[in-house]
Amino acid sequence: MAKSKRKTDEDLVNLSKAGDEQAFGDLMVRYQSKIYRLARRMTETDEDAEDVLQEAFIKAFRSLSSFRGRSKFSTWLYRITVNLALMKLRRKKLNAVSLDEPVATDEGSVQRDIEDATPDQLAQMIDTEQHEILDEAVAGLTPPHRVVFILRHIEGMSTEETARILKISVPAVKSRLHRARLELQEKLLIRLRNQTSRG
Amino acid sequence: MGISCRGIVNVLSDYLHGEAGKEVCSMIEDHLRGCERCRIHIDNMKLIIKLYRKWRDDSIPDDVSIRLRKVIAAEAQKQAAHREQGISAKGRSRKRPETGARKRTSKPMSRRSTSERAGAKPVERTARAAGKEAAKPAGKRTKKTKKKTGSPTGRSTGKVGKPTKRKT
Repeated sequence: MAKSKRKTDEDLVNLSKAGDEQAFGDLMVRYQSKIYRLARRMTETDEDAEDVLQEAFIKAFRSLSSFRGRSKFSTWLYRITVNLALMKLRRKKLNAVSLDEPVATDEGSVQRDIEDATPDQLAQMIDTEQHEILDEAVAGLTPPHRVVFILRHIEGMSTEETARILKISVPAVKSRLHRARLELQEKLLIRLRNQTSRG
Repeated sequence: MGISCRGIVNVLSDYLHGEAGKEVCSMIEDHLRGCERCRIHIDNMKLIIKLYRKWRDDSIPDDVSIRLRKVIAAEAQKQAAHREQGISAKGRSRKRPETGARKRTSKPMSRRSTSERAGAKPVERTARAAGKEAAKPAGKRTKKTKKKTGSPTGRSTGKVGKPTKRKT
């Protein structure tokens, strides 16, 4: 066990390809938590996250022989996971969440909202209404914005790695991230304004 | 040289994650001193990322991990069985020239091509067999044909590649 931990992903992939089942088991141990976390953050339910996790590893296991190693194994696995999670989201149309509803009753642009809300106000709101607000806001991002936000800002992957996983350019990642941040902030600020008007 | 609000967008992610170089950091901080909008946006983002990471517990439950292991073990078994099936089917196809005559005898005549019938068997026997075949009730023929369809060797000698195709 300790011996296999010293092996690189590439070693384990090669051993797996040669029929060593334990090697794939080691890859699974290495990545299952990360893959589950990403799937959970993308899909927002335990059931969907488990589905995505299992499907991702089954797909990786079945396609390992065709994996040429042009990208890192982790990038490849994350890409499989992201695609499966996006497919799940598409099926469930999770991007239509309740946070979007109050938009019609509010006025003003995103820019003005940003100026109006300070981090203190945001923190106070999130403290008062628990973290569900934040969960809802992130879950309410459109899938392309959500995936880029989660990979870069929550999982802490580099911009380049995010671009490789999503098979898009670095400028495209930056642009999507910017729009995701604005969208997220807007959702939270709308909530804040609604809360203020209720209170 | 200063940095504009638009320029901030390009380097903001690196800055938020402490990955920006010293020079970039000082340019951003200079900008933030004079731009309240960017300052609030960045502070909000820092807070959102920090709180989201702190509150979310997305760790993999033990039972999920156990089920995953089982699923992959089952998948590995399935693959091994397929491989074995493929190997034995290949083995059979390779051996076919030696055992082919016996097998051909047991195969119903209706499933043989004209050239096969003509080449492998004497003409009278073929005709007799064909006559028997014709005399058999339709139901029985169907049953026998069905049985043969399931077997990888129940094909004419020209279709040796079939088992391999089935495997993939």
